[in-house]
Formats: sequence, C-alpha cells, structure tokens
Amino acid sequence: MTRLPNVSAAALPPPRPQVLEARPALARAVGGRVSTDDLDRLAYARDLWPLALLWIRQGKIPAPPDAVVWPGSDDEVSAVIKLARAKKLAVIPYGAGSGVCGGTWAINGGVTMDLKRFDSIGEVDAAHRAVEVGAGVLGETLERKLNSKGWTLGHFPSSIACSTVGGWLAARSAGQFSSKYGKIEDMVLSTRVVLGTGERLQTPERPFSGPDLTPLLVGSEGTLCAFTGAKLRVFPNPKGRVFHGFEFSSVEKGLEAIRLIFREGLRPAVTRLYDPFDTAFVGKAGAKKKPGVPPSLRGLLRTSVLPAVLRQVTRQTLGRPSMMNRLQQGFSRSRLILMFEGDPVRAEAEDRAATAICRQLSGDDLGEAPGRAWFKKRYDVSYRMSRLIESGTFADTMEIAAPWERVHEVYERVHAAASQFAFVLCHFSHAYADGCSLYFSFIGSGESEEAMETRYHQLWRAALAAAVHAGGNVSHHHGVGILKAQALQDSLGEGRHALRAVKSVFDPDGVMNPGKLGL
Amino acid sequence: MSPSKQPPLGSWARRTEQGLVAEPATERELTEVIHVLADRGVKLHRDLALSRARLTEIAAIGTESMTVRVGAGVVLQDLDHHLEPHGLTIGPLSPAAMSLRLGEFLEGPYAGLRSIPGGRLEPVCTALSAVTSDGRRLETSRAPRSAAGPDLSALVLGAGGRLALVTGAVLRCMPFPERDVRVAFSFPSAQAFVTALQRCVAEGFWPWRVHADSRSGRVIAEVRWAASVGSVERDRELLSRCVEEAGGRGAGEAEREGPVSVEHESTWDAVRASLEQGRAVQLFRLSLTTVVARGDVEGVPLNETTGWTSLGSRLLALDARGVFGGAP
Amino acid sequence: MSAMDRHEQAYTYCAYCPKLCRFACPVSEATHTEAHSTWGKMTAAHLVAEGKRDLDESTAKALHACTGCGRCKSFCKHENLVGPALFAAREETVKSGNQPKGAASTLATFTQAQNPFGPELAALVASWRSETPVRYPLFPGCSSLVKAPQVIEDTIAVSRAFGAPMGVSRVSSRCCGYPLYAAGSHDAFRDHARANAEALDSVPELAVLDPGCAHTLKVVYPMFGVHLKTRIRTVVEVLEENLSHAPAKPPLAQTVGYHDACKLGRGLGQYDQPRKLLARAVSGVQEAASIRSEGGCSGGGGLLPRTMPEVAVEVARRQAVEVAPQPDVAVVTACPTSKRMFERSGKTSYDLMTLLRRWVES
Repeated sequence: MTRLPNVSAAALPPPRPQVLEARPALARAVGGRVSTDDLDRLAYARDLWPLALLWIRQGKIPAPPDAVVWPGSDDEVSAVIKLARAKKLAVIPYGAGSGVCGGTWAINGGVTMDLKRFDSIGEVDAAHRAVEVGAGVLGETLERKLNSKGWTLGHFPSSIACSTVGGWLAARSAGQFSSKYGKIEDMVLSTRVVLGTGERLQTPERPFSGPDLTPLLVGSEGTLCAFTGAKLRVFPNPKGRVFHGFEFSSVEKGLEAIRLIFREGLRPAVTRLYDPFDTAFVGKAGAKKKPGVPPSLRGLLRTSVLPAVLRQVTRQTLGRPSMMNRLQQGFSRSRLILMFEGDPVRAEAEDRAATAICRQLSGDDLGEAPGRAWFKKRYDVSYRMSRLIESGTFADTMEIAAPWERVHEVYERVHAAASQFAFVLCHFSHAYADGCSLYFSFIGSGESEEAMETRYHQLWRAALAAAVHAGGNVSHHHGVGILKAQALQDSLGEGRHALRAVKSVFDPDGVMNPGKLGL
Repeated sequence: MSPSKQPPLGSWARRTEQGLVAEPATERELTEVIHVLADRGVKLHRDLALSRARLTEIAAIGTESMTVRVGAGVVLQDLDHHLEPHGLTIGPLSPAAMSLRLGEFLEGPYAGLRSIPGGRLEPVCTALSAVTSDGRRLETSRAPRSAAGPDLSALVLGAGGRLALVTGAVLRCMPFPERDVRVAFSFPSAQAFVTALQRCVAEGFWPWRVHADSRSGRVIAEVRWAASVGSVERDRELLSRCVEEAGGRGAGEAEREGPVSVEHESTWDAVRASLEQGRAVQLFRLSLTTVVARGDVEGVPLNETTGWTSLGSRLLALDARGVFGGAP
Repeated sequence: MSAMDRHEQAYTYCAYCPKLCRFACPVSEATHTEAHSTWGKMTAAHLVAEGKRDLDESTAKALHACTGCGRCKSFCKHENLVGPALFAAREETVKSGNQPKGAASTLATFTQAQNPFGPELAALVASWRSETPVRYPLFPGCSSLVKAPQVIEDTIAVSRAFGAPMGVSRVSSRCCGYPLYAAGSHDAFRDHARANAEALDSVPELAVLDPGCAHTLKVVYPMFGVHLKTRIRTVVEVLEENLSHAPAKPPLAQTVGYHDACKLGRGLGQYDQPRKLLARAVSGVQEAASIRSEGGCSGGGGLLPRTMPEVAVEVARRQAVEVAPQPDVAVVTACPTSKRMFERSGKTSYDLMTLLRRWVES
C-alpha cells in the first residue's frame, strides 16, 4: 500500500474551493445541516482503523473531508448525491465511524454524509418477526429497544455500541452470535437506499422474480449507494442460555469438534476456539484470580501478570516479535467456548449433543464457567486498544474465513507470515457447516513511529497474502475499506471487472466513497 | 432474425427443433461462444439457446466442509445419487428443483436458495464460477461467509443468465441422514399450524417436507424430516412441544400424497390464506421468510421466468455487449 | 498544573478508544455529530492538552456539549470521568476567553448574584419561614426557589404527611455553586465551596431537594478538597426512610414513566428509593429500555440549556420518548431541572413530590 495522506491536527488544510462554492447548495439540500468547521472535519477524518491511532499519537490525522452534511430524509440524501455528481465531489456515507479498515476516510476530500439522523425504530411486526429501522440507528440502542419489547436482532458485533445499522449493511457485519442468527446479510429482508445516481430505491422482499439487488448493495461500503433504512428479521428474546467450555490437546482437535458440532446440525450461538498460546498463557495466568476466565486477547491483557509485563514488553520486545512468537511452540492445548440459546429445552439438548462430540475427541470438560466469564466481558477486549496504543505499540485484528479443509493451513501460514512483524494470537469463531472464521490479533512495535508504521504495513501485506494463498478470503466481517482494497482486487481476479461494471451502473460518475474496495 | 439471415456460428451451435442451440463442453468453449455471439450480433436466449448439459463434471468432494464442485450441467438428482456413497446429500430441496440442472437451479426462479437450520435462506452454492458478457471469468470465494465487498454471486442467482452464465459451483451438502421420519399433527386452525412451524424453524428445525390439508376443517399436517438419530429425536421433541403450545396435537395418519402442481415461492401469509380456504398444500424449503409450496397457493411460480422487478432490470446494463438478450 | 493535567489519561484513553460509549452520550445522540460524541470531545481535549491543537471557538463549543450526566462512565471499563474531564477543559476556555456565550453569561450572572438566575435568594428563602416544627432542614436549591416554588410547597406537604416535616433552611440562600463548576471556573468554584462549607458549619443535616445540588455538595466538593461536616441527604432518601409513616392510601389510578435523574441515580446511587415512593403513589410505572445507571439524560446539566438550548431540549425530548412514548403518559422525575426540561420539550411531566402530594391528599 502506498503511503496514505495525513495532515497535522493542528492545522487542517482549508476546504477545497469547489466544496466551499457548493456549500450554499449543500446547505439548501440538507436544511442547513452542513459544516465546514475544522472540528467537524477533524472528527470525521478518521474511523477506527488503528493506523489512524498511530497518527493521532503523533498529532496527525487522515486527510479530512472538506465538509460534513447531515441529511434527514431520502430526498435530502438524493439531493446531496445529485449535487455531488453535478459538482464532481466525492460523497462518503458515514454511520458512526466504527470501521477498522478506513472505509470512511475522505482520501481525496469531498463531503462526508452522516446518516445518523435516520434514527427511527419502528414497531416490531410480531406476525412476520420483522422491524423497520433507520440506517442511522446505533446497534446498542436498537437492541435495547427490541429487548424491552421481548425481541432481539441477534446481532452483537463488538462494535455494537458505536456502529449503525447502515454501517452493518455497508460492511457486511457479523455479530458474536452469528453461528445461530447469521450475519447481517442473513437478517436483512429489504433495504432502503439512495444510489450513486441519486435515485431512491427500496429493494423487494422475497418472493420476487429476477436477481436480488440486496446482496450487491450489502457490502458495497458506500461505493454504490447510501443506506437509509432496512427491514430486519428479529427473534424472540432467548428464554434459555447454556454455556460450556472444553479444552483439547491441540487446536486441530478443537477445530474438529466445532466441525462435527455443525455437521450434526447443532447451532450454538457462540463457538470460540482459542489457539494454544492464548489458552496456555492466559488460562494459567488468569486462573489464580478468576478460574475459568476465557483465553483471549482481552484475557491476556487483563490478567494480574500482564499489565506489568506489557509495560516492559513494549517497543524493544515487540520490536522483535519472532522471539515472542517462538515461545508459542511450547504450547498445544486449545480451549473452546460454546453457548447455546433460544428455547431452553432445545438449548440443553443441543449442549448435551455437543458435549458428547467434545468428549469423543477427549476434550476436558471445563463446565460453564469459562463461557459465562466470556459472556460477561464479551465486549471488553476493545477497551484494551487505548492502553496498547498509549504504551507505544500498535495493535490490530484480522478476520478472515476459510472452508474447513483450509482452516488449519490458513492459521499456520498467516501465523508464520505475521510472526515476523508482530506478536500473534488467534481464535476461531463464527463457525458454519462448511468452514469458519479465523480472528487474528496482532501486537507490534518498532524503533520509531515511522518504523512502526512501515512494519504495520508489512504485517498486513504478509498476513493477507498468506491468507489468500492458503485458501482463505480477505474479510469475514470487518470489510475491506482501504486497508484490504488491493488484496480484494487481487483475490477477485477477473471478477474485479464485474465489480467495476456494477459500480458503473449504480454510480456512473464515481462520486460514491472513492478509493474503497479498490473502486 | 430469420434463419436465412442468421450469421454462421460454426461448430458452436447446432440446429434443433427448438431452434439454434449452443452446447459448449467446457468453460473455455462457453467463453468462445460468448465472443462469437458478440462478434456476430447474435443474442443469447433470443436468437439462440444455450445448453450447459455438457458441463457435467463432478470434482472431488470436500468431505470436511461437505462441499462438492459441480459443473452447471449436472442434474441435482443425479448429483444426489453420486453423493450418497460418500455419506452426503444435497439436502432438502423441492422435487421440481431436484430435476433441474445446476445452472437452471441457480440462474432460474429458485435462485439456488435453500433454507438452513434457524430458518435462514442461503445459496446452496458456497462459491460459483461464471462468465460475464465481456468473456471474463467471475469466480467467487469458497469462504463460508464473507465481508469482502458485495456478493457477486447475485449476478448469477435468479438472474436467468442475463448478467452472467454460470459454469459451475461449489455446493454445500449435508450428511446423508441416518433416519427419515414422518409425524402427523392436527391443528385447530391455519394460524396455529403456521405459528408452530415458524417457531420450530426459528429454533433450528429443518423440515424436508410438510404436507398440510385443511379440507376437513382442521389442519392435518404431516411433517417429514431426516437427519442423524440424535438430531431427529431433538427435533421431534421440539416439534411436539411447539405443536402443543400452538394448540395442536398428534394425529394418527395423514394424507401423504400432496397436490402435484407448479411450485411457487410463497409467503407464510399466503400459505395460511390457502389453508383457511380449505385447501391442501405441500411445503418445501421452509424458511422464516418464504417457503416453496405446491398446491393452490399464491406466490411466484418457479417453473418459468417471470418479469423482473424494475430494480433487477437496471442490472441488464452490465451486459454491455448485449450478448445475453436483455430482459426475460 | 492545569485542571486538564489531572485528566490527561482520560483524554488519551478516550481519544484512542473505539467509541465504546458512542450510543450512551445524550448530546451526540441528539446532534448526531461525531464532534459531540464522547470520543470526539475527548479527542479534541486530548489534542489541546498535548499541545497538538489550539483551543479554538469550535473546540470550546464542543467541550461544552456535555451535560455531565455520566452515562458514558456506566459503559467505560477505564471508568473515565468524562464530565469532570470536560468541565476541567472548560477552564481553559475561560482563560482563553472563548467560552460559549451561554457559559460566559452564566458566569457573569453568578459573579453578580451568587447564583445562576439573578434574583436574590435570601429574600426568596425568607418567604418560606415555617410556622410549625421542622424535623429536617430543607435545601431546595436555587432552581426550585426561583423557577419552581410549587415543588417546594409539595415537598413540605408530603414531608408532613410522612411524619417527617421539612422546612426551608436559611442556608438555602446559598447556591451550591454547580454553575461555576460546570462553566469551568474552578478556582471560583473552590472558593465558593469553601465559603459554603463555612456557612454550613453549624448545620448538622440537610435534606436536599435538587439532586444536582446534593451531588455537588456531597461528591463534587470533596473532589476540590472541600469536605462538609453537614450530613447531606436527598429529600427522596429521607422520605423513603419515612415511608412506613406515610398514609395508608391506595395508589392513584394512573400510569407514569419514571426518569432516573442523572445526579440522583448515577451520581448518588439512589435508584430504588424514588421507585419505592412512586410505587405507592401510582398504580402503574413504566420503565425505559435503559434505566438506572444506564438510563438516559434530560439535557439539563452541564449548562447545556445555556450553551446549546435547542440541543438540550432535543435531549429531553428524546429521553421523554424513551420513558413514556405514549402522549397520554406523563414523565415523573425527582429532579426539578429534569422536570423543567421535559416540559420545555413539550412532554407532560411531574416532579415526584407533586405526584406524592396528590396521592397523600387524595
């Protein structure tokens, strides 16, 4: 990846003249809700791509948008896009900026279009188990509202507090319970969008004849359209929840257990298998204080041992990650957390069946404690980012997916490739009958901020190349943005021309979120 | 275009009673056909039919992921027979769908969809390969789920070969069932029947076929499903409980022969309405949103391509060379 | 050492945080603006504190886009005190002279009148002289004295019915000083708190009506090194203690929605006491999707009604919809400021004291 433009937070470049010229027209389009104020431009310049954290540490931010607008109706969104087409301005749809791939960076300036005013939550249609919501509704707000009425969306991304329905659709989000409830594309019945042409559309609900536009728009990351609303499927609040933890002699056995569980037709809401180093280090370190604390990056960073270690293991140690990663060779045991929810009798029955499978594979039964502990702290991992960045390191995560035949090879190859540049941990989650997701956590450092950034990019290039080469894809649920744009284009092969053709139909002037997905 | 004015297509096409048919044996040949059509201004689906009956390769089975790579010309029923010795099956599709070639199933009105435990719809294919009108290859990832941009398989599924021509796919299979069960229930109303089935489906039940008959006043339903011994018993417990909670009860015997009619993709509302009018229906591919229904049920017919939505028609612009013949 | 230095870690952690309290900030939920999210405001403060950005007018405005409700802290594993951190940053806006107008005018009024409203409080307090014995000296807070004297009357009536008669204390003529704190005039606030501590020296106990005042006296003063000898309790707390002496009457046949006032709930941990009182007074109580420590805000704190009045009303409107979406269901709260904000947003609302009075007199 070529170096991306950044600017000093102290002195933002002024908005481009063509945007300032268009400002009155933009204001008319959105009822006056337009800003070219530096503070707004600063706030919208970055999403949660960790690269920006390396920059903010140095008082720099990604190149900001020239203006921010807050439309409140489909007509206003349409007016903004039509104006952008006429004036050749980029439009960057924006939910809550929780993406981690630079999907909302205004790399060439333009107008960032915040869609959070689309914040309506309709009444649940109980007969059809559906709810219509605005694209700007924040996940936690939606889930709480649904829960209070006896329903759940079943969508619990780690970003639930800071991501919107529109963002979920744009980036094909997955929640922690996706094995049961599916990813967002499995939940959406229809969407309301404004295309890059400025046309307003509502995609039809099944049944209908002909191709389905929804899968083409979902995952388009603002390059084809802006989402303004969606009709989503909901489930009754689960009446029962069963947790179970197991420890296996190897990661391969753990993976085999998950595969067999899904082959049997069981659908745990949560399956999380932690790689051996994670399991060994954290499991033992955490056991003193909280037996059964699940192994994870979160656990690793929360233990009584590690905060002190971490402070020492900053630039120097993480600057030589291969040494840290070599430590992992001494460990082999792998911990699995399962959670079943829904009908209580069914959940118990599925747990019994899963237990039988795990025992057949000589899994040690850890009872319900590890799962319960994970559930209680399931969002906590994200809080650790602040401490890591403050300690002078970089941290990031990579989530990819592969069919079962390739999962272990993808794990080993990515691990090996990334280990040259960062300390590597992995867990396997979001399982399906035909494969699963691999979630890598990277922590690294460098002798200087510049060296660290170079290493960060080397890490990503190596990790993504290894993933694709071994039979994985480039993203399971974080999306592509800028970070994985080249990897996506490479992995599409000739198919990239089809993607470009779709782009030319829905966004003929190329105003929608340029530079993302490699478009 | 009159036959006399048809441009020569060489060995790529043969004349049949139904008109000109191109029948490539490989993806490469299919690509050649597309280039020839483009060069000579011939429209597929209008001036010439395309058969993919010769794309019949069934590649090695992925036993771990329970997937198999299959050519677009393979008939699903034949594939199922091929899978059985490997302990796999293509799973519960409808009878009419099973008689289709893979390409027809994916591109046609079925759009290659099936339900999965939890009542979601997912494409039977985890990945597919196709050729677009510019002759380029489109191959989607084999990953079980993705967030790597839009799902380009939407250019194939249900698109009638107007946006891309599928040549093969990696299909998701399931274990060949150990046990095949049929259980009959009686419901006081169509609504009770729908409530019970929807709840079961949401909880992960995966029925293969449901026959429901309301001609006697009550709804008598026979539910058939197949899975491992343990799974069957878990499902039986769930089903019995959901039926009971909805006001239904067990029934001794049910009519097994359902109405043989065109299959429709229908909503649950349409199914309920049909039963409320004292009719009999057979349901397949039961999902939380729609079902495939036989009988006198409102829905989108699945035996023929009907008009696309105006939104879908927008995509016809992708066929920049006009090779695929435009709107169906 | 500037006030901001004490909060440097909070600014940093928030600036590096993946916005994990994004949905919890009532101001950014109302404005839909990232610059007003906790993350946006704290990032701005972080850059200012690190000397990486000047404190310009926009930044000053953003630093004031906080009610200090503390809802974000309920979701923060770092336990960052965002309200106090931003109020500390406001001190820099005072020094640099680019305070928002509403904050500057509040400070000016306070400097002149020793309260944020202007009228002389001593005269108002004098009018509440009690003719009957008083068990609990009442500290209504200047907001009620000036804007809602009816609530004071209701409180006194209820307290008598509960066998715990209250009467307005003469020390009530002193504002707790919260506006100084919220405006970032922290030196003045410290001085004011010390003076209040002296004035309260001989008062053993106060029943405080406004939870904002109670929180300031009990929690904020100690943050500035001022520790009162006076036992500070809320009126709600005192009444709940005396609930067994309340008249044995059936509840009013009415359904209301209850709003947890930020300072009463998150500030002082009093969630159950007002609910117990309310459960006796009315037959139906609705709860919002988020309550208690995670409950929403009425927009009345942090000088928001002065600095961003329209936003403050929008915050109140949104919370009113959360608590009581039905037009015919009123919101009840145990905070005079919150009650006023709900009214300003067009929602029928009652102070808990008013409802209790209706019940005891029914």
